[in-house]
Amino acid sequence: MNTILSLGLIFLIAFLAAKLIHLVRLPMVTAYLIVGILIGPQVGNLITTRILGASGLFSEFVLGVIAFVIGENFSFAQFRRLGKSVLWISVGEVLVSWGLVSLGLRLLLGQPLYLCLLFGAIAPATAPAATIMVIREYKSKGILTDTLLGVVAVDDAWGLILFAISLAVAKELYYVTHLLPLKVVGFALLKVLGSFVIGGVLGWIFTLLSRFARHREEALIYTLGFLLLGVGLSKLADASVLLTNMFFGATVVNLHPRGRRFFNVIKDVDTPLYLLFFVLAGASLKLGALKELSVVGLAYFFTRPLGEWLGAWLGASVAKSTKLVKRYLGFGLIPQAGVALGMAVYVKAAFPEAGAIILSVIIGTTVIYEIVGPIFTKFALQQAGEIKRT
Amino acid sequence: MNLVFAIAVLLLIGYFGGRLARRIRLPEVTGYLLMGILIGPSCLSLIPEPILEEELDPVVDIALGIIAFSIGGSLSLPQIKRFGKSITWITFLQSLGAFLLVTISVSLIAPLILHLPFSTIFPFALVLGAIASATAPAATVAVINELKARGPLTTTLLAVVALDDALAIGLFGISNSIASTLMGEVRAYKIILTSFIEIVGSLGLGVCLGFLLRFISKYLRTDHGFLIVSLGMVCLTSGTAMIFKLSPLLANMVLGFVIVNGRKKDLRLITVLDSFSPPLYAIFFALAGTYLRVKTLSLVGLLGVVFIFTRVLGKVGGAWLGGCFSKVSPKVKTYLGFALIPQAGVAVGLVLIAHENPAFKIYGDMMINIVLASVAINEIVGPPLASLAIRKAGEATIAGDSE
Repeated sequence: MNTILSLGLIFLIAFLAAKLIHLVRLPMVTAYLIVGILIGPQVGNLITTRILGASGLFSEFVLGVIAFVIGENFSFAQFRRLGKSVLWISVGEVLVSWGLVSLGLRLLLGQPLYLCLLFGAIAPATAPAATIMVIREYKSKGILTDTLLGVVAVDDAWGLILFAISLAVAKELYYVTHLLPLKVVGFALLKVLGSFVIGGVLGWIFTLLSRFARHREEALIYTLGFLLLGVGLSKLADASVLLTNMFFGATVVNLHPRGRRFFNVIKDVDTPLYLLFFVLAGASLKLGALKELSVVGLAYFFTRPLGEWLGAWLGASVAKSTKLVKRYLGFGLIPQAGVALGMAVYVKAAFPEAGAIILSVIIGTTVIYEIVGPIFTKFALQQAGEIKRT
Repeated sequence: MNLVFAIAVLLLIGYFGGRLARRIRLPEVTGYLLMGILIGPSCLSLIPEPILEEELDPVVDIALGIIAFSIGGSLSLPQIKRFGKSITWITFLQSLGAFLLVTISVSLIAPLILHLPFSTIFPFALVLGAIASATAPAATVAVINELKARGPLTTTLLAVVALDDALAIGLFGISNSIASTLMGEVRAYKIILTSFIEIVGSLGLGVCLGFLLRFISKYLRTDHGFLIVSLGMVCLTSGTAMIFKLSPLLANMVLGFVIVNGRKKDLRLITVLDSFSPPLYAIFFALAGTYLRVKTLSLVGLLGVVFIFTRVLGKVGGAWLGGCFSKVSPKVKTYLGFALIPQAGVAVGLVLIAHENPAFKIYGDMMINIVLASVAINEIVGPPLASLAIRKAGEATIAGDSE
């Protein structure tokens, strides 16, 4: 089996699966993930080690594409319309899911405080890729759709800061290092700020030089090149790929008078990228971890969605969003994937023992969240009446 | 430097190279290639070699597959029938022209330079001649796309570069086995058999998968569906061809050929890739530029110069002669040969096979240097010539030099 053949099989099998899952009215994403599990190294073994080895880098690239596309929604006009809801809902979602998961583990199971905090810190992370894919598949349009897109993007910034704070406090509790938590928090802020600076500068240069890119083909090459540059630079600077490219996109849409066309050329061709992204994500899901889900894992698994929903509801209430947004937005926040896994790996490096527990729980729960999450996202959009046909 | 960064650099530098080339009235491909040379190991070494040589392999394979698929996809039967006679004559004569001229002149001149008897030089010249007959479809197609060229010369040209590939593989198989026999190797028949299997197998594979694709495409509706399935089939074809040591190029050409001569709706399978492929092409050619070893140019000496010149002469002369026999318009006759100069992957692949042949122990390295130098020159000089030829024949629908 060579790499190209493996790629061909991935495309064709995933396409077939998407057709099949359409019959039972489930989202394509779910089909792709299941295909990934089935032809991944644990079952069918049709994906070469070379592709699996490159999947980390590839996923970051696709995340960069997704973040850029999301950035299009942050035009000033859109922000005036939805900014308040997006801000409040994302803040509410992040804080409440953090608090609820931490408290739940502490009060129900009496886990040590630092462990509760760490679990809480990972809980707010969502998966924009799955969300955007579902929205795209059902051509969903409306207030809930726009708000949801904004929330899954912005909550990453809050989540990152909260994660850093929790990590610092947990370290203090566990190691009693007297390490200044301020410093750690400062680093997190710097990371967020760095992403914004890189994204902003890239967007500015992009706009400046874009007059050379006239034809469609040129625009595609040009945009893709800058997207990759954003991913590469933010990796180099240890910033967040997601935030960098999102801000890059937001800068372009606001600075460039005809910026939309650069998003359209990307949207025309990105489906194969998403397909590959989700199949590879499926291939890396560790089904075995499900068996080891302990009581702690179950508690996390159930309190997180509750926190997401409650937080979104609270935030929407404060921002006086529409009734439908208030009621259903939380359902769109269930998917959880790469960002959470990345955090868990980071925790494991800092707390070898407790981190191992956390990592195995997160690995196990993402399997379910990723597969079930998109179904809930579709449910939310459908209930809000923003899907015309299924 | 990480892989993402490397691809970003290739894309953006290639992009600006392409724009720059347009400004000075050269094809975009040439811009990509020159930028590739600039950032590659022969010049600035901006990108580490392991990334260039291994990590980006799949990108190259996919791009080549798509290019071959789109060549096959441009050969609809009614059109081919219309130009059938000229296509046949020109394909054979330009290939034979390059083959014969290179073989004869190398076998006459090399004994004088290398001070070796004719009998040991002749096999070497024979194989070089066969390699000389190969052209590079990718660069030609890129130029045609850029100029949105249409007309008798373009149609003939596309068919010729497609068929030339099969012919070059066949010619090489025969020459290589004759050469082996002359050098006292016994397995000669095996070599002919191998290239025969390669051609027939590739054709068969393309036909089978082409009909499979036709069947699948009945169930396609959205552009995204067409894109995914098309891409998947091209990868499947290339990948399967590689496993059985067939030619991914030929197989994908046949795949495209089967599609374009099927239902009208299926044409979408070919056109959707047009929106997807430009970045792939940019990476592909910039990468190809990094492979071009400019240094080999200083190593080849007189023999290399002879090889390059006689090849061009053979191609241009052969195409002209073929045009005369089939009574095409003077424009096609005069200019077609100039569009056949590009030389790349197929030639490199063939010379690597010859290098492995034990009969060529002594000349192996020299052969590789000659071919690599010729590829370096023809890849850079070829596309502008092709662009010129198409424009002179009046078949460019958008002028390549409009700024």
